[in-house]
Parts: sequence; C-alpha cells; structure tokens
Amino acid sequence: MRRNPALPADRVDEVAIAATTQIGDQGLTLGRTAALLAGLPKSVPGYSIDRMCAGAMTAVTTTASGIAFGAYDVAIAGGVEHMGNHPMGEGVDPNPRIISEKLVDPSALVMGSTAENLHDRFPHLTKERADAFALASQQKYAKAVANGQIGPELVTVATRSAEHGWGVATVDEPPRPQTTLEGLGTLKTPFRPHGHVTAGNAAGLNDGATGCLLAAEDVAEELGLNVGMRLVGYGFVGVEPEVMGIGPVPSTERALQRTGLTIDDIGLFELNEAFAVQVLAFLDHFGIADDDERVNPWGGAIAVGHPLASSGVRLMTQLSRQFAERPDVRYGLTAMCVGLGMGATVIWENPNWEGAAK
Amino acid sequence: MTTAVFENEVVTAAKVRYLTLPGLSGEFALITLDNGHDHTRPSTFGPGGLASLDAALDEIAAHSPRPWRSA
Repeated sequence: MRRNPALPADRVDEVAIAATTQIGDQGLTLGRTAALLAGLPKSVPGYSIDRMCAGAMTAVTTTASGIAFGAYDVAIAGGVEHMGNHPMGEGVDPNPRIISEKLVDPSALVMGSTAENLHDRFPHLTKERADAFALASQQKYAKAVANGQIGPELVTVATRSAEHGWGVATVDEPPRPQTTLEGLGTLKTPFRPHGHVTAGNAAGLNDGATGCLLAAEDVAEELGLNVGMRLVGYGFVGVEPEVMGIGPVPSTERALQRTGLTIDDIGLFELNEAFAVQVLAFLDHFGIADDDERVNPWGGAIAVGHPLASSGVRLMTQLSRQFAERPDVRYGLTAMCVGLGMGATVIWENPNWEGAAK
Repeated sequence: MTTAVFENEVVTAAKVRYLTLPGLSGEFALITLDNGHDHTRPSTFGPGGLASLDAALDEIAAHSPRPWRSA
C-alpha cells in the first residue's frame, strides 16, 4: 500500500492470506487479522486460504477470479509461513483412513521422500543433474542480488534476539553463494540411505511472507497503479501424492490448453524449486534444457528458501520484475508442485511487451 | 562493564548491532536498550546502565569514524 499511494485503502475489496499451518499466530482468519493489523479500514474483509505450497498462488487466482467475475475491483493476496515457529506438519492429525486404507503411501506425507520417489520414477534425473541445477540456482540468485535485480521488492523486517537486541532483516538470509559442486556431493541424504535428495538440492524451510495487489484493468488505469503483469489464465491439477513433484507438468498443460497457448509461447519460467529433481522432471517433459536461460534466471527456492504458503507470490514478483527488463518477452509462467500431490500453474502477460504497441 | 555499582540495580544493557539499509550506503549502528524484563519493568539508568551505554558508544566510535553518516 505504501508503494502504491494512489490506491485509497478503502478501495481494497478483499484480503486473502495463505498459510499451511493455520494455528497459533498463523490462525484466526489471517486475511482479516492481517488487514486489521495493517490498519486497513474495518470495512475491508479478509480470509485465510490453504493449498500447502501453493497457498499464495491460490490466494492470487481466487481473488483474481473474483475480480474477473466483477465482485471486486482491488484485492490483496499473499501468504506467510513462519516455519521457525510452525514447522511443516505441526499439529497435523491426518484422517486415520488415509493410512489404514492406504489411500496414499506413507511416503506421500514426507516431501523429501516424494522427491526420492521421483528420482526412482525417472532414473535419468540423476543426483549429479540435481546438484548442478542447485549450484546454478545459488549462483544465479547471488548474481541477481549483486546486480540489484533482487532487493527493491523486499520489505525490511524488524528482528529481535535476546542476545543481540533488535535487528533489521534487509535481505534474505538462506542463500549460500559459496556453494560448490564438491560441497553438494558430500551432503547427507536424510530421506534414504544412498539417496539423491539433500539439503543442498532442495529448498530450505524458512520464514517468509509475501503480498501483492490485484486490480481490474480499468480500475488500475483509473487509479494510475503500476501494472506489473496481466493474469492470462491458470490451472490446478492433482497427481499421485507419492510423486507430488510432477504436479506442475499437468497443471501447466491444463493452463496452456485453457489459454490457447503452447509451451513455445512462454518466454520466462519461474518454477518453484521445492526440489531440483522436480524442476528437472518439468523441464524434461517440455524438452527444455536444465540450464535454459528462460528458466529461473534469478535463481529460485533452492537459494532463497521455500516458506511454503508464501512462495507463490515470490515467483510472481520476481517474474514481474523480469518482465520490466524484458520487453521482448510476451508471456511468462509461474508454477509449483504442491504437497499431497498437486500442481499449480499461472500464466502471465508482460504489459511492457514491445509487440503490444504494433 | 555492566556490573551493578548499586546493589539491586536492574541494569539497562546497551546492545550494539551494525546494519546496512537498502537505498542507503554506509553502515548503521543500532543500539537496543534492554533491562532483561518485560514492559512492566521500565528501563532505567543507574551507574551500571550508563556505563553500558558509554561502552556501546565508545565501541561504535571505534568501529567506524563516523558511523552515523550515510556516505
């Protein structure tokens, strides 16, 4: 809101905030409480939303659909996951039938195990390829930070420690730009002896929060809001929970089919790197090279971390900032895999596309 | 340096952190005054607390010649 002073606070029609673990301070209808805490007028409603890793992404597609339907003019969508306070699986009590009737394999509830399963299913996706992709993610992220491409979109947050007093977090802390291929090769495989998945080729589980503004095109124009990108379409699809990482493949196919586009129309990909193997499975399916420069050009979750429900909007802010630099690109795609076997894809159009003026 | 000179002094300790801030060059010092209690015990300065603050300011001055200026 501070970055968009042209937007009167009472024009916000909905606040949707996602969290996977909706207990404690992440409970109590986050969208509404966040709106109240942020000082939005009491007339602005809000709700919380959950689709595990794709929480913020679903907050975006759901509120955007409300805008498309004509129910809203402006909405705020985002997500939060304080995994330090609320680790994945905290307080989880799955329905006993899930286990007793073997509705899903027990490994489906452990994301690292689903990534190992994916390595099993696609033996050509080797640990070496996963490690090389992970190293590139760290290097691309570090370069984007050094170039000032990542940073301006971040919001400074106060931190506190009993030992050191107050602090200010101005950058993301997880990245490890000093990562080497040799170092990655020595990491343990906690999900299976002699496995493939390590802390180095998977996203870190950390704290994060994201938010974005969505508006109807005519309202954005009326208020003079900066337009980062235009939502073209989206798709969500379920897959076998045991290999949830494959989810973005069918969800992308659905999103492409619904929007009448092909994979060749996509000039930039922001793929959530929950696990390197899961991104590689996507790239292989669509015939894209591991090091294709259209894919996560500023690095991804392996470097910056994956605070579950917040990550979808991070992919989007990163894509919109790349759009601003790339008038040669018309369409971009954000996609992620989702726990319990789902994929989520949103396709966006670049408002700076040079072809639009012709 | 934060040893209480007065018996029973609740020492307000000065804790120093150095920060860089987006959009500004140079390093900033952030001092947290903390008496180790919650808001129901307001921070007060006795000899120990003042000594702690003095030491923090000395440390900052030694850390960088003019740490409070953005370059």
